[in-house]
Amino acid sequence: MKKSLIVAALLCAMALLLAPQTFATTKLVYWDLFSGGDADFMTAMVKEFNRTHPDIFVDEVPNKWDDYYNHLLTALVAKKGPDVCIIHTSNLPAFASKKVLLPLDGPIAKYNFPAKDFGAKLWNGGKYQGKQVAIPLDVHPFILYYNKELLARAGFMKDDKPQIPANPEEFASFLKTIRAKTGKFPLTLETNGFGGYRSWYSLLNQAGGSLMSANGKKMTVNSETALKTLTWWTNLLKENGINSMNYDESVALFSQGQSALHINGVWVTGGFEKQNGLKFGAMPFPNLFGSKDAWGNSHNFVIPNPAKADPNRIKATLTFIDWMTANSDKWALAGHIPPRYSVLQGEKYKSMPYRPGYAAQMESIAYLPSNVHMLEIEQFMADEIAAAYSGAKTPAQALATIEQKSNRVLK
Amino acid sequence: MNGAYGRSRRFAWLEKDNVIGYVFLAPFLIFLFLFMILPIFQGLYMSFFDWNALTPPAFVGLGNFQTMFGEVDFWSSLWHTVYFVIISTLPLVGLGLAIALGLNRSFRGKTIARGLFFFPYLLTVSVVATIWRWVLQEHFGLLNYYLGKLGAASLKWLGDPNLAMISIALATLWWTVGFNVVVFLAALQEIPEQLYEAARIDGATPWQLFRHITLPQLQTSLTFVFITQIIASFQVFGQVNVMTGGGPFGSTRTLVQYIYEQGFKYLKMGYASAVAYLLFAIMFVCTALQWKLFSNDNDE
Repeated sequence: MKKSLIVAALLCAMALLLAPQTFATTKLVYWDLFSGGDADFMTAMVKEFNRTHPDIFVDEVPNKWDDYYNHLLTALVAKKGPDVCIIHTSNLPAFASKKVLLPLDGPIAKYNFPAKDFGAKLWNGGKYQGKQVAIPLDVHPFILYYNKELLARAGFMKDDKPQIPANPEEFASFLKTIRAKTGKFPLTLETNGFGGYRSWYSLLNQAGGSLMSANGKKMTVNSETALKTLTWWTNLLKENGINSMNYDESVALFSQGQSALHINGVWVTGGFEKQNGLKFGAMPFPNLFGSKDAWGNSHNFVIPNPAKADPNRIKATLTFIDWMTANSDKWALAGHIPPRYSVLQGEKYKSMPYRPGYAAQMESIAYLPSNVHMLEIEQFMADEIAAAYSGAKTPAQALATIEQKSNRVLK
Repeated sequence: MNGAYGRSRRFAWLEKDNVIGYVFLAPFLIFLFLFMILPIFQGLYMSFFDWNALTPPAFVGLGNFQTMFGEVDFWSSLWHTVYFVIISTLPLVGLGLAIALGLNRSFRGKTIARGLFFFPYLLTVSVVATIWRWVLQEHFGLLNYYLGKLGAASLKWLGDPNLAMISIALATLWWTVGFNVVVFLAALQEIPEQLYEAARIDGATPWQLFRHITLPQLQTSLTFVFITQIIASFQVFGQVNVMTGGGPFGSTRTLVQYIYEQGFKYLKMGYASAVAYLLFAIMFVCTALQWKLFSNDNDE
């Protein structure tokens, strides 16, 4: 971590030297957490913004994802850090509750920021206790990927469209048929790692269940609905031999054509489309319990260090955020769903491969509840749900443990 | 130092030679103080507060320690750590010694062999852990592939809670045993050949040579390796974090991982400091015990 700080400091210093310093330029230091393919798209967008906005210079500082939040925290403790940066929706409460993010309602009204163009669920995801503290750049939900050849072999492709059943019983026999007819995995997904809970969390929300009470004081996870969905899902995973599968392997199996279906976040789209010979499609998460809800998270822009923010820079930052989100079809290359209707309905996005097929998922996002303790509760959930899948605990024991551990944290 | 040193011993550091000595030491001492000594005491101080790093700390006395002893995840992390120390230390020291004994003989390609055993130690933890994460995959892993060729069943090396820690210990063994080998090898080469010669003339068996010459002569390096090894094993983090992330379902979460999660993920800096201090106390006691054990041997 120390090393990455030094590197970041050096990068800042270099950027300072290289930056074209004309007199009227407002300079914005922008931190993000993208690496690999995502980072290339992001850097290209920032470059394009700088080219088209001579009065603003955005200095992007890409960070590694795994220590980004430590890095940001350290900077905030020292009352330093960027003018604008990226924070996940799930991480917002931890920062917003400490009052280190600038409330944006004022500036949004003052500068006429096009809030109405954003998907309502995503926009509201940027609120903390009713105040807007973040503006979404994207949403990255869980969706369903399917291998066209394998589904066709099992008889579930019609006019190039997959025939996915919409209730638990049929879905179970659907997987069984695929297994019998193809001899491959009918479905792969991460089930023994951190993200294993996400598929079940999607089903819980579909069935109308919830994790905690609306006021965030008490867990509601130990419910009939939760037990029903978790038991059904666990049995299905066991039956298909995928109740203890790690992330890398689930992705590798699908990209090698060893699996007919794959549940994962939209971020794997880019990797799958580079895979030679893989004929796949992508669609919203299967509706099994009466709604289309699926787990999701968003990258948001925030303005940290409210005491430091001056009007001139706030204005420039909103111009930057407006441009980045209005051009988020470029960001969609990384797989993420753009947050704005003007982009989603634009020809550029609609003509992209795979992506429009799952854009509808943005209307049914099941974010984790906005709660200061959510990250810790998420870990309890990750541990216990994976234990239930694997059979180390019964679903009832797992739910009771999540409830008990989380209530201790909430009180 | 003794009484004859001078009348103004209190101000001895002002004497010219000393001042120059301290000037030379200053860069190191300043860093040591700022980045080691000071944080050690700040950590202790922090452990009595409820502090999220961003808002002012609140004094809670021994509250953090109380919470810790009531926390299931703390106890399980402590056990996982102790378990890792148990299963990793003996192979790391024993195999290290065995390899060193083998490499100490003369044979063709000796230098290359020495290099090969030390090579993994030069890699960073993320590289090592990533390699092993793929080698140990259930469906695509190299290890299961060859086990399959031998007719053995595929194992969930990292997915089975009973196997995951053993897999991490295995990767750690491959990664760091080379360091112990080098220490032992250096010590073996220090043993005077005459001792062996004399013993052989007296008709000692190879086992007797090892037991009564090699082992006693290795006393110091054994102490060193054992102590550093146990300390390193108590602090295991990187391999776990990359290979399993503490999973499956928390079964490989170690204390350092727990401290990291509590401090940097959930912003409970005070609580994390309290746990860190407990880990420190455990390691301190272990080291002191070993020190006593080994130095008693020496006195015999």
